[in-house]
Amino acid sequence: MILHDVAMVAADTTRTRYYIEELIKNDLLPHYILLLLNSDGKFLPGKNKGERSLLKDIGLLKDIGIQYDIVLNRDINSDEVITKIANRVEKVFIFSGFGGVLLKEKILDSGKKFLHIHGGYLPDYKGSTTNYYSLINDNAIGASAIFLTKEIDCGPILLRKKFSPPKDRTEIDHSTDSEARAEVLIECLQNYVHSGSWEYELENNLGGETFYIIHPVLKHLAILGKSRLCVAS
Amino acid sequence: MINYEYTEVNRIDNPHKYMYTSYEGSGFLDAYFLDRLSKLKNLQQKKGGSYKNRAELSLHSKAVVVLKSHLDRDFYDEFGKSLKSTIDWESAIKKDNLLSDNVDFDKVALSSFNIDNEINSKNLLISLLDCQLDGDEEGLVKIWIDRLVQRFEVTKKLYERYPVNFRKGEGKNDIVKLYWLFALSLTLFYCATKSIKYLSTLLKVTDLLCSLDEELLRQETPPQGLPFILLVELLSIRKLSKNIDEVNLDFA
Repeated sequence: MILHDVAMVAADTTRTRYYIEELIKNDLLPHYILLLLNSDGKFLPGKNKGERSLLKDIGLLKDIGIQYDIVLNRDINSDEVITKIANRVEKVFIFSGFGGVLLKEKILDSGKKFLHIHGGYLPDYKGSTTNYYSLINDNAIGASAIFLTKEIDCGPILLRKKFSPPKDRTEIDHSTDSEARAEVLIECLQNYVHSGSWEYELENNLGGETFYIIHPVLKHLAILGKSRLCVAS
Repeated sequence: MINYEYTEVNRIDNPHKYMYTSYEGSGFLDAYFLDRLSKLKNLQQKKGGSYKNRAELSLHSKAVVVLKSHLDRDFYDEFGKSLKSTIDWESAIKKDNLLSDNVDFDKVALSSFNIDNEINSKNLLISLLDCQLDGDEEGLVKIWIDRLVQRFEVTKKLYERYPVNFRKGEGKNDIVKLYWLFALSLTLFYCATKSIKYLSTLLKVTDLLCSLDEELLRQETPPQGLPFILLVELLSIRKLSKNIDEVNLDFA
């Protein structure tokens, strides 16, 4: 099924590959995909043995008949990218950009909504590397679908889920986080298809705590731990 | 043996972004623990005696008292006792108290700081610590710590002053004392709240401090000022690792 109102703007990252694979698998296809590549135009190879490159996914998209464009520009806030997005007919763009990139005012004011899946359970865990913090505090990870707003991770929540920790916690950065986000993305799109509108689980995404990149000592403890860690006495 | 890279070079001159750090197994935690322990012992062995800043000694002395009671409550096993014995608590508290008895430094109320005005970082940190030690203004303390954490996490620096809106800092960013005062504030806040977020930032600030020349640290911080913070940090990390089979941080 092609979602005529939904497009995607995606960088060549592991997360994008997970998203595209799950979208194809679940037959929830965006009407259009804008791919942001490095200026050399080369696709990154799969990082893990057996992982396919985004190039293969593009081949699949071609076979299915999804429209796509490639821009040799990593900067989603550039005029080139904003113009391409603003000129599209789709109203909602699934956002899968390069890590750590924030959408600035100009693109947020382009008339489109950006559907972002945050790696963390909102509103409790805002900011960066939050799943390591939630592993330490709650022995769980999370993912939340939001529409992006000017305040980081504060947009209305369409769907949020908690997940049990993976057996191999060393894979969190590479696959677990992307898998959890992809699952929330698919469920969010399924909800949209069923209801015909974007409904919010929690429109008022206030409060919570903003986290910053976790220190490697704590990251190691979160990976090595098998349960909630002993914080208080 | 894994090197603990985060203190290997001066982290004021060469800040670490901590992005995409790789997993190195439990040996990494050993490397961290031994690196900190070595720094704690080095600084402890060579005690300075000429530290003159009465306001900071007074704050430090009060902090020692507050945190010692926290440590005695939370870390009473043999290892905790052994590590705590590396600090000369009694003389530190007595000596500092003698100095602080008549201290009447110019304190600025925390409530008088406002982001609509320029902020002097040292004055802010001293007022913040004063409130934390007296248990005052809890809400305001969190607001200002969160602002400082945000500034430090984004730039990995603390600046001498922050102009209106508390965004881009101005002036010097290599004032060791500011980083030490901030580390002390984070230590107190982590002990009070047990919020891992503040322990994470504390680890980065102590990485920075531990990466500096030891002589400079002795000149710029009160005697036992940094060892004492490192002690609380090490015991807190060890406590978090308590139920992890692969991790055994019983180094002494």
